[in-house]
Amino acid sequence: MRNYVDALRDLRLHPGRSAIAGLSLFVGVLAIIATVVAGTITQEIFLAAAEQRTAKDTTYAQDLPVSTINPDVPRFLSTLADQYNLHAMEGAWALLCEPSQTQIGIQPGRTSLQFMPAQFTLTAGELPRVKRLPVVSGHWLDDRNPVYPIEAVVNLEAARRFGGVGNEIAVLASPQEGPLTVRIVGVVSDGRTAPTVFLSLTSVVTLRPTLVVSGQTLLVHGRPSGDAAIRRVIGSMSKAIAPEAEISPQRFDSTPSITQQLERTQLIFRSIALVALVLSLLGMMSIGVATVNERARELVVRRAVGARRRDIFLLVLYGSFIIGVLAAIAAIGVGATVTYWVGLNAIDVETAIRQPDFPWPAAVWGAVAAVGTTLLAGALPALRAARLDIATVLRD
Amino acid sequence: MAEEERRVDRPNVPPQAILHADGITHEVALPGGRRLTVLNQVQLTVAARQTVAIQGRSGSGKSTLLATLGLLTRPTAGRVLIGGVDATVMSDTGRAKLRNQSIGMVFQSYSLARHLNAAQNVALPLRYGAPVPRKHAQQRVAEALALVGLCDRARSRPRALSGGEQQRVAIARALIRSPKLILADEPTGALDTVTAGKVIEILLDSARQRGCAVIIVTHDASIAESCDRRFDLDEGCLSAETS
Repeated sequence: MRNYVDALRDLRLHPGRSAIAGLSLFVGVLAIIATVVAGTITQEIFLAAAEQRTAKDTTYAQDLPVSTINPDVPRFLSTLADQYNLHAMEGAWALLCEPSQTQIGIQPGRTSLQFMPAQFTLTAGELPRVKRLPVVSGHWLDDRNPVYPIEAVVNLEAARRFGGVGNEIAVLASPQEGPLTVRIVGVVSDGRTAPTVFLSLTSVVTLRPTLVVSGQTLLVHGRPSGDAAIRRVIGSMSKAIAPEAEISPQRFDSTPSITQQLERTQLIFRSIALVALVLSLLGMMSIGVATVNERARELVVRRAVGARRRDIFLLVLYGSFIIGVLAAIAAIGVGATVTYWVGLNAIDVETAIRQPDFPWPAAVWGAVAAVGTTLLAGALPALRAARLDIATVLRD
Repeated sequence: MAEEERRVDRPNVPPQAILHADGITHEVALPGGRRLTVLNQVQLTVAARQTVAIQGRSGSGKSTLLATLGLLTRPTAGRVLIGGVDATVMSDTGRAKLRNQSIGMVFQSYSLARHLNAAQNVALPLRYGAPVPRKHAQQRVAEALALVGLCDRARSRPRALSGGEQQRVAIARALIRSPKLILADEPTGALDTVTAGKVIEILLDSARQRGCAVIIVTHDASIAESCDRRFDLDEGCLSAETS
């Protein structure tokens, strides 16, 4: 304790140098935290886009033939749910039906006859749990029972063009049929720039079966480690509703390739952080040696009045250690504040990007690296100080 | 090994001797493998309360002698006994402990830590060696500063003190552990004559009050005359005592 008090007092001896040493280490530790935070945010941005476009990590898809869809949709949806529950697997499933003639017309309100092209998707199951589709307002579709007017969820672009929750719009699938009135119950962020309307498959099959003209895709999402289990589940679900279908589930999400690319980027970031840390180490070491050279007389006077070599070694080392601890605390504080600020201000709530959590493991590693760096950087000057020849220094 | 066990038989050493230097030789290596003898068979015994002046030309080995007697460097040959303990065979740690307990040092250039105030500089020897309770330490610092007439400058940093005051702080630091021996290496070398006289007076008076022996290395004949014994050091050899 006495050594810590002495070391703290000694920081006043060269406040400028202490500050530069601390700053150099602060930059090194902050670089570690920043690279991890930046890496996490970058990964989140890419993953969010990929999970909106395709599906969440570890999702398999099985195409089902057109013949699967029939007026008895509620029954086979119930079969799918039962099959899924049988496997008691954590995750979700969804059935997607995206008609080939995706350019349909939507009449905003009922006063205008002008229709605009839009894309529509018929869906059953829990699509927002399979894809990343954060609900911005309202709620997702309830596809258990058909309702009239048919409920619709629109993406942000469609909401911008046709109005948000509570609005009724007319969907014109083909000029031969009259428009179908649907009511918007929710707005989701799906990352697309084209207007998109999601409709409940159950309701559409019941109230306007002619809209269902294409095949479907069954998506099952599960734990990242459960590939084999997911394939088994999707196989038995597909078999239960389409015995004639050829079962060959394919990995649907693009997480593995993105993760691989991001790992390379992270490696580059981490290398930069490591270089920053090594530079701080060298900076601190040279500052430490210069300080010891300047303090040589004072240090040998301490020896002359009774300090052992060990006392001098620890005095210098504790000085470095205190700088390291202060720099680590400051870097972690700044890192946490910036991460919090980025989460609050830099990420739009309407995007699917989740607010980054503060990377505590990186902070811990940063702190460990800071202390390790200071001990390494302090060891050389401390050894030099302990080995000073008293008589020679006093004579000089 | 306990310090008591290190005591040696010294038939020629007076029992009250604080310091006994026995045939100290100090050589340094020069380029080309040559060796320079800085101290040559120096023999010196100092009793308690004695004041000794050592004079000599520059380069005669005065500072080396003082560093050897102060256990700051090891002699090539010979022994240094402090209070009957042979310090030449002790470990670095043992010598540090002995320095802390038994020897006080005053240097020409004051050698105060500039980031510490006068009281903290005086207290420096108490930071090492046997622990002293904080209250007791504060009391001892106050007493030592009072002894050198600097009670009111306890909180002043060295840069706020004059040369004479800084040297008085250094004297208080040398006295704080109540050592048996004080070694002063040209303590007035950086001071004007008047201040130098005052500082030497304070050093010798304080040492007498505390019962310390004092060895002063000096160029100043008047300072040497104020000491009980005087020696000349010439090319590493200590001359016979002059009166």
